[in-house]
Amino acid sequence: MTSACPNCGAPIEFAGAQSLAAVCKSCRSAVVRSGADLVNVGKVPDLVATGSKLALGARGAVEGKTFTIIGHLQLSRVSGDAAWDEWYVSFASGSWGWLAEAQGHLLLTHPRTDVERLPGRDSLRAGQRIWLGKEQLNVDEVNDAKFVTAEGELPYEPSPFQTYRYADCSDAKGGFATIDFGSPGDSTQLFSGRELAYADAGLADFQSIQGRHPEGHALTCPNCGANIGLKIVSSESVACPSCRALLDATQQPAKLLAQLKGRTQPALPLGAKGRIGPRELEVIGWMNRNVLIDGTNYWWEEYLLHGAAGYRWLTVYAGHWLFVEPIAGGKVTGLLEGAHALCDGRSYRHFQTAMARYDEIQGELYWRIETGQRVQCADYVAPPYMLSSEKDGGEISWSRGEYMTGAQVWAAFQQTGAPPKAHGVGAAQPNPIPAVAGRSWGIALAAASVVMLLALGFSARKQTVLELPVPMPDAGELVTLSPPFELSGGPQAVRISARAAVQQAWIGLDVALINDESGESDAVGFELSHYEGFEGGEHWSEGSESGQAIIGSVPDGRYVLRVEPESQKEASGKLPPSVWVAVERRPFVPGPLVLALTLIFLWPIVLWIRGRRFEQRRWAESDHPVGGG
Amino acid sequence: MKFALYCALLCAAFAAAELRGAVIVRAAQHANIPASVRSSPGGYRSYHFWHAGFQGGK
Repeated sequence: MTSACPNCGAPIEFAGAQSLAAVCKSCRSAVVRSGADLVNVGKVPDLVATGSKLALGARGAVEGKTFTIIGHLQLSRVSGDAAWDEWYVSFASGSWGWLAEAQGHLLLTHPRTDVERLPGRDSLRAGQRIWLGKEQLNVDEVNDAKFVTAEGELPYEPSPFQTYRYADCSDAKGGFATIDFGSPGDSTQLFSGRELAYADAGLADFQSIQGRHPEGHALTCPNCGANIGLKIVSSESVACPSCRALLDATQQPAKLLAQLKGRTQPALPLGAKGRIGPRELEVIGWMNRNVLIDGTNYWWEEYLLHGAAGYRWLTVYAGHWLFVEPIAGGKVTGLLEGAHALCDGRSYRHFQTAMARYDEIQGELYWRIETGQRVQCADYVAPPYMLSSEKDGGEISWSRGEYMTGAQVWAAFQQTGAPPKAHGVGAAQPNPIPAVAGRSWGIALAAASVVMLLALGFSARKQTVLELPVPMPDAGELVTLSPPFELSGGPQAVRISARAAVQQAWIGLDVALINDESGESDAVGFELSHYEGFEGGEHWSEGSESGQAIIGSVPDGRYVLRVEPESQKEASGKLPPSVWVAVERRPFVPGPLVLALTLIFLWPIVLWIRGRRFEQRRWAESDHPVGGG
Repeated sequence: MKFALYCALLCAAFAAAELRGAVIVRAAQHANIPASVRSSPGGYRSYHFWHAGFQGGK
């Protein structure tokens, strides 16, 4: 339907059945449908430059459903940040929705009326999890927006002074919802949809033909007069490279926000271009940030990267790098602040929460930075990943970083020279020990099994070659000699054991195994004793009625055993008339087995200790320094 | 891989030690008895072997 503008007579087209208002292209009057008539409700300001790639008339398709952009709304936060774009889209099927652009992604939402109970604005806070119907979502932002301007058609009557209260929410599957509380007195509306890449909406190749969104623009520093070229037109803050003035790039002319200090030379220069994974990225901004913990400042650097997929980050602390991507808050489930969080099925442990501030800034940033601004940063780690949140007033934003070494960053950005050396252990640095230790434990267990089987096999060959009663001397010492016996199949270990029923007495046996042919002898001594009694009403006993000694590597030959006992008993004691002595060849000898097992498990144990030490060093600078608490 | 080789060598060394009846700590006192002692009747009885020096008692 085409009508004439009541102000200038220019044609105004209403393509959307749900469109209630439109802005005249000719005179920028906002007109509202009233039956068959159009009512002029006043002029709206000119559009402001943003980084949007879209324009009225752009056509796309989502899951086979074609749409056309028929309206355009520009909003900004009440606090005065730069405007963002929301595009009013009409589907061929007759339905409609909003297409919003957010840091390189699109958010397509449709109005929903099936959720009966919507939460009140005052009951919501950032980070809260809420139910909307059967869906659980995370509240990412609770804020106020104001109308800036519009073009084309709109599904409601615009007002230049209107403010809107809203809450943005996301879920774990990429779902997104806005609870639009409107202006005071309005009914609450729910819009829900999901995040899309431009390609998902058939808009990957679309470029505005109106030239209203040039790639970058220039501004003049109000402090020193230097010309500053912005790489990204939507950048809201920029640091003058000449005088280090921090400027509000959303204002024309640029407004001085603060005079920055410091002349740090970022290790990775602004303008450096590189590729991380499939993404082509350029360094457009750099910040030095710090947290104050227990009276000590800890600094780290953040590089803002920009590419076709939007913004990314590289952060570096003590030479440990993280490649950071923003994620929807709804992906973070099972959050217990200060303890743990879940994201995409991975469990993260809380590392640190602190108030961070910006110390030094270079290049440009996509948000308007406040001098002295402090935000609450919380980090959760599951090496090589780190999950981080930044909470600032009514907004909480989440990101996920993946550990990179300096060498990897240098290779990605084709930098010459060596990257800054890493010190200590990075919070998300993968611990290289457990994987090696795991393999070592496996090998060690296999080797231990082999050794145990060998020990079992060898001990099965034991054989008793002599049993000899050794009479006890009635008085003084008495030597007993065994008949000669043969040992063959050696060299081999020989165990000499003895057993006697001693009571309150002891028997000492000096035993010599004598090779009757060569005269080589091995002498050992061991004791049999047994004492018992009552003390303090309790029974006690000590000693043993048996004893043994092992002689190793005994060569083959004819042997005799010489046994020389001595003994002593208490008045109530009892000594047997004789002691049974036995000679056993190839007995089980525990020493080599114990030594072999010790040597086998030594290395895995050393690795385990080193792995623990690595983790202790990682967690030393966290909020949980004792072993990661 | 090095550790696997180390373990294999250790298993082989253990098997060799078991075959030879080796002990880690040698408790026996080794001596060579003169041929004159061996050839004389009662020589082993009277020859002075090493004594453990028992103290006995509890």
